[in-house]
Amino acid sequence: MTILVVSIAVLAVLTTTLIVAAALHKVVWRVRQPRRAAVERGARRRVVELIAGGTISADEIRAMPKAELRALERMIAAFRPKLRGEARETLEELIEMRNVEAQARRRARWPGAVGRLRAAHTLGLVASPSAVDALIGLLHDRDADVRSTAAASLGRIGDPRAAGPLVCSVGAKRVVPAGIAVDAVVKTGAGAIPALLDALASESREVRRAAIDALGFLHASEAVPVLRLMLLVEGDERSRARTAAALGRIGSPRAVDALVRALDVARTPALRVAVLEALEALAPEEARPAIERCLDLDDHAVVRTAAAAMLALGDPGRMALEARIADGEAGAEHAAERIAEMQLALHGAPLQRLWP
Amino acid sequence: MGARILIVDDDRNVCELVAFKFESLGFAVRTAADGESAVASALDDPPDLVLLETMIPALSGFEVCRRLRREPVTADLPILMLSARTHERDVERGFAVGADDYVAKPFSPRELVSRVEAVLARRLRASR
Repeated sequence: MTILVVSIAVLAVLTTTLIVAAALHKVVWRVRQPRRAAVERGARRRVVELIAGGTISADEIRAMPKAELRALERMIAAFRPKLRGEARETLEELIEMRNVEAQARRRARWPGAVGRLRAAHTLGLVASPSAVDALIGLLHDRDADVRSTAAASLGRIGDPRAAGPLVCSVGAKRVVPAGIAVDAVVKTGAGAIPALLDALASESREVRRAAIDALGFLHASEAVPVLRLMLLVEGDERSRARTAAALGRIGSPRAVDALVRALDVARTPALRVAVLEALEALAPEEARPAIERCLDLDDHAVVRTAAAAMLALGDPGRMALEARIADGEAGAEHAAERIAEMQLALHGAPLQRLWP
Repeated sequence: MGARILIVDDDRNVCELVAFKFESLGFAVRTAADGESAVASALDDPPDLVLLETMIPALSGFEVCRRLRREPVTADLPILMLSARTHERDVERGFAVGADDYVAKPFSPRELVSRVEAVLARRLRASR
């Protein structure tokens, strides 16, 4: 009984302390907020004046209170990626004066993850060649958030040197989420393509998949010969589905024969749907027999996608579909459903009732 | 007093920088942070030129441009897009909805001033 009473009392004291601490924190934050906002406004004004031709000496910077200096650094980092020409050079000189980059690189080696996280963010804004090297190092950080932030920062900088390390990071022991890595590589642009082509030969399936995705998003037509081959020989069907999607995005007619062959030998609906979507994007007349064969399959998603691919072929595809619907052949209902949806999207209402 | 410019951008940093730059050159500047207020401000008191970001809340810059072109009072207003959307399709779309010029971010403030002055000068010549 006594133990219970004591426990309740301790719990009550702890709860009260927590509530009081939270309330105090809120009060302190509110009291400090106007001051913080004022410092931020002052720093913005200062940077704007500097860009417009004002000057500031190293001594002035050294004499600044710490909070103002930090606000100035944040503001310089925020302005820099939006500017080019003389304005950007002015900010770069300021960065040099304050050595923001050197500080961030030092912070990148801090034991605390928060410091390294801030470093990864700041280095992305600094965007110099040496910042890229430091960020590539942070892709292997022991903290997942630091790795992801480093990847996003590399994407913001867009240096092609980072493309290889970024795509390989999805298969590393300390992994970067594939979505973040692929997004960063794509932001790098066409300069990333050679590294991505190399990554297609990686032993890691995750790396190969990320490279396939990125090549598709980059519309890398030089990757079509390799991707055609991969579509037919890649071991697992998920990778082949990604390859089909990439070929569809690239939009090269050279991929059609491989897509048709992949469609004929596909075992899973997911791969068939991916190939059909790619064929829908390419709309090749020679693929019509293979697409039409999919209308006879017993999978809703496959038949609907095949119907969309038929419609993409224009009048011949549409007429073949309508004949099939009129005859009540297999898949006709799903095909009609897809046609009705497309008409709805195009005209606001189905043009005609397609089946009873 | 110089020409009157309406700057439409939800990025306070860019807004303040561009406003400062033009004010220091003698332009009369006012700002709007979203599409709705930009349209309202331009219709209420048409400026001599609109500097328009495409990615703004409420209405996109493209839509703002389209609406201003539809209204008789702002149909001939010089509109210069200053946008972080740099894809050629976006530039094409900007011109398609009626922009007179398209400046991609990152931008050079000096170049922006030159472009604004060139657009205003063209309009002045055309109106003579």
